[in-house]
Amino acid sequence: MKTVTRAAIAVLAGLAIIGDAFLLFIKPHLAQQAGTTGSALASNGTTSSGNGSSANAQSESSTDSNSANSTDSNDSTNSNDSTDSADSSNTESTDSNTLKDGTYTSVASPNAYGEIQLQVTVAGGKITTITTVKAPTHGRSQSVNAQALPMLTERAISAQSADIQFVSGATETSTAFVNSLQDAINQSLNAAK
Amino acid sequence: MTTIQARVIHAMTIPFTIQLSDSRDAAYLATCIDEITPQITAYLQHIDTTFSPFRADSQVAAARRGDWSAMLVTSKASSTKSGVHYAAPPYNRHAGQAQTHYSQSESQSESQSESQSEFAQIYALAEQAKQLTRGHFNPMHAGQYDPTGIVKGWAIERAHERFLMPLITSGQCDAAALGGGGDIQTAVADTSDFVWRIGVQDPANPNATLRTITLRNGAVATSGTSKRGEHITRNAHDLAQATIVDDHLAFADMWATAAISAGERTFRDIIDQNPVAQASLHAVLVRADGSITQFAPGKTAPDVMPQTGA
Repeated sequence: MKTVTRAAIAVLAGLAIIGDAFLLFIKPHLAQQAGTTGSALASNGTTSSGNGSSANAQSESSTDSNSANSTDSNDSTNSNDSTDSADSSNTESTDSNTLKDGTYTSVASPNAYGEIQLQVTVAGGKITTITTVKAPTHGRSQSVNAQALPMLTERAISAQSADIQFVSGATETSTAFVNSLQDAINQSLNAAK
Repeated sequence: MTTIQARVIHAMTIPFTIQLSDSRDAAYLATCIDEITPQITAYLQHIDTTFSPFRADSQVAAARRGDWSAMLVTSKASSTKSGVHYAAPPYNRHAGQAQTHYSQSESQSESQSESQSEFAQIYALAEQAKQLTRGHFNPMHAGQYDPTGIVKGWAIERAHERFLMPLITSGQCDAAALGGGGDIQTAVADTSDFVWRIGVQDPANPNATLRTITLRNGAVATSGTSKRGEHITRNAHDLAQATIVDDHLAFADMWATAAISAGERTFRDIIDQNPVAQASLHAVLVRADGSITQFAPGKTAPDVMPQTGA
């Protein structure tokens, strides 16, 4: 009787493990696949409307995308997409996996050292070239906090020194962190109450 | 009394240290840092998922396979697993038109670049770094796109700005800093007299420091021969370690990498000819022979170097 109970429990546990493994590893994967194909199909039906403004934003650089779209559409997953595409009626859907052909220029994001603008060319639904269209200009951008100017003190500090909070070095990795100088500092900071 | 709380996160095989400082309620400070730590952890994991060339599902891995579509994806909030999301690019002129937010604590200065995908931001930054350093920082490694060298510093800077700056601006703490793998971004509230003190590690003895850098708002980055994930192609071998202080960690990190690659003479030359760098950088350079040299804003020429060690 005992062995039968044991065997039953073992079988149950085994089934549970297999079930868990299925739910954990296989099902999400299937669901994901279903999800992506679903959205790709759905995007055939959902054309434009809400996307008017963004379509305009890109239309200036993709005026000739009309012909390109119809020829290239066979490569893409959404073959219905561009058959009815008139000049500015946008086939782009937010869920679509197909990029609209044309040239996209990024918003320049200036920083202290200048700015870089990227120009991305999409052909046949794929990004084919990325070019840098604006070189950095040398000019300090607006607000430099007076406090931001750091000072160097020319004094070497012993390893056990309690008055630094951080160590700047080239060797810090997770594997070597325990008992590292930074680890010791962190612990002493947390201990000091 | 001023207290400092520290927490450690392990992500991207690197230990990250968060520190908050305040002179008021120590208990509140602990609560505060325990609240922000998981958010920063999630962000760093998200960055790793996006940029690791070692993960087949990363956007960098996709780019290496020829799929650069991440360039045109808007930076969608990813606190939850968002599926691949292709929006009509909010590119062109008005950054605000399709604004998406990574988290609630979005700072204003970030709003403009936010409409670019993170992938595109890194691509642009890497291109800029290549130009600024005359190719001594190069996102192409062994013929493949590898922005790893710029991602870490940038991620720390961004995480600091997104998660720690709001704590300072809202008055929850006096000072906040985030370090990762030896690179640090710091900030202090205007109303506080707190100063961060950062030791420059001795490359010959990891438990010793060579110099102490004090700063309030800024960044310190160190590159050396043993730094991981940086793939520095070296054109000179006269520097063992380079520590750079700049306003932003992405750039401090970039200059430190460039110094190691270029060697001391070329690096000084590059800095001399860049007015912005010339006016703002501090550097502590450890030569291959162990000697130390340094420069401060406006004083990059070797002949005005203070001799060190004395």
